[in-house]
Amino acid sequence: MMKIIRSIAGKVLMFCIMFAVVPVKSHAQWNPAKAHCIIDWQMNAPIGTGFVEKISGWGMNFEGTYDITPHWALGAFVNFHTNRKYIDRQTIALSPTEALTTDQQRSAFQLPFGLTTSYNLRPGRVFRPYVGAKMGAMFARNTTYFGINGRYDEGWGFYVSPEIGLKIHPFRHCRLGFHIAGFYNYATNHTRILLGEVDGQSDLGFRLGVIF
Amino acid sequence: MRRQSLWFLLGIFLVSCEKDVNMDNLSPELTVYTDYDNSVDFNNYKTYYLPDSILDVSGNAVAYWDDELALSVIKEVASNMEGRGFTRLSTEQKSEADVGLQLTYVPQSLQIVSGAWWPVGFWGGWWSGWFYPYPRVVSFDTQTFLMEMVDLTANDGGQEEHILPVIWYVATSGYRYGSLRVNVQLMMDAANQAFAQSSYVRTINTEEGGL
Repeated sequence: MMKIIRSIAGKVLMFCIMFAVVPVKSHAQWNPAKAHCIIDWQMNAPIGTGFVEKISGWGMNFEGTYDITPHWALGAFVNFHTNRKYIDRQTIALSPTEALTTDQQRSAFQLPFGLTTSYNLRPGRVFRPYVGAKMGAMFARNTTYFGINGRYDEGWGFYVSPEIGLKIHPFRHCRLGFHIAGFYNYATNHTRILLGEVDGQSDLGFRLGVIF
Repeated sequence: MRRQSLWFLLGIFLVSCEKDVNMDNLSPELTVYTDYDNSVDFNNYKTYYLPDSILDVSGNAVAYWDDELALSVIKEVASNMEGRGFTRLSTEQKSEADVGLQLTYVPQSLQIVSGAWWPVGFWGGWWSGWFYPYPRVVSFDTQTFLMEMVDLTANDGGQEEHILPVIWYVATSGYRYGSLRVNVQLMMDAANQAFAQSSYVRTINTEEGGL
């Protein structure tokens, strides 16, 4: 399964680089009207990690993009998110001779950043649906708190995230618009805390925000 | 230099965007950690010695805690040991005991003092930076209750100074509350849990006697 995901991630990366970089030649001249900024609130649900699998809205997304053609936009992004989950008191076998009885409050924090690109299906309209992808690096820190103690592990990984969305520009003479997007992401981060091991992290979520 | 500082601070800001965990959700019960020497057979031990006091380590001071509350904890531990087939010996008989149990209580008050300020000039030459004019102190009280079972039958190899191997180790810890009675109840619950998760601490004892 991981091989398939990594293979798909590689193909998405190649696709994005090809289509994001090639059109630059024809629209190399800087035009401030083609530069956009997106600020989103996001909901995010980790899937398949076994560490924290609970949806939360503790995250934001920031993007700066440039319309290199009427259809293609390229830019940079950074977002952050925290998911938490309470684990009931239980006895955990830490080793053949060690046991620990406690409840846990788990926290999964992620901070991906990198390049973003999108293909606008209906440029110039009020409703502008698009498909896009983000790729870059992700910092992740997974923490578990128990009693007066806590353990954490953190690290870096490769990040890729396809998304579909809608940019809404209801005002003819105003740059302000609205942004809705649904996304999936996969990162290669590896963390291990007590018996909770995360080897590759996937998330599903959506974003609501403004674009200007 | 200023631009590098800006990127550095942006990185710090984003990493600090992790939402704080609400620790109030955590149970007040003590966490219970146990470990043991799996090379020993607990069935070889029949008797044990347990002092009528708890070693109280408060800061650098060491004292013996032996009031009514301490005795209730000791009684709970003794009850568990009896339930596992061990016979408790008196102080006069302690040289005949197979294992010894030591109970230790460590109350602590932890304080975290923090403060942060940006370097002078970061916001421009006319700005002198900002800072907390007072130290921010987060303080909390904790308690740790330890049980150590040592093998009193271990051969010391002819050395003059006896080195007793710890064959069962229990460390329980958590927040300490204002009421000592509540803290003692938490310790007793933790002691019971330690035995519950250590089913190997058991012997078949056919001998009579003891306390």
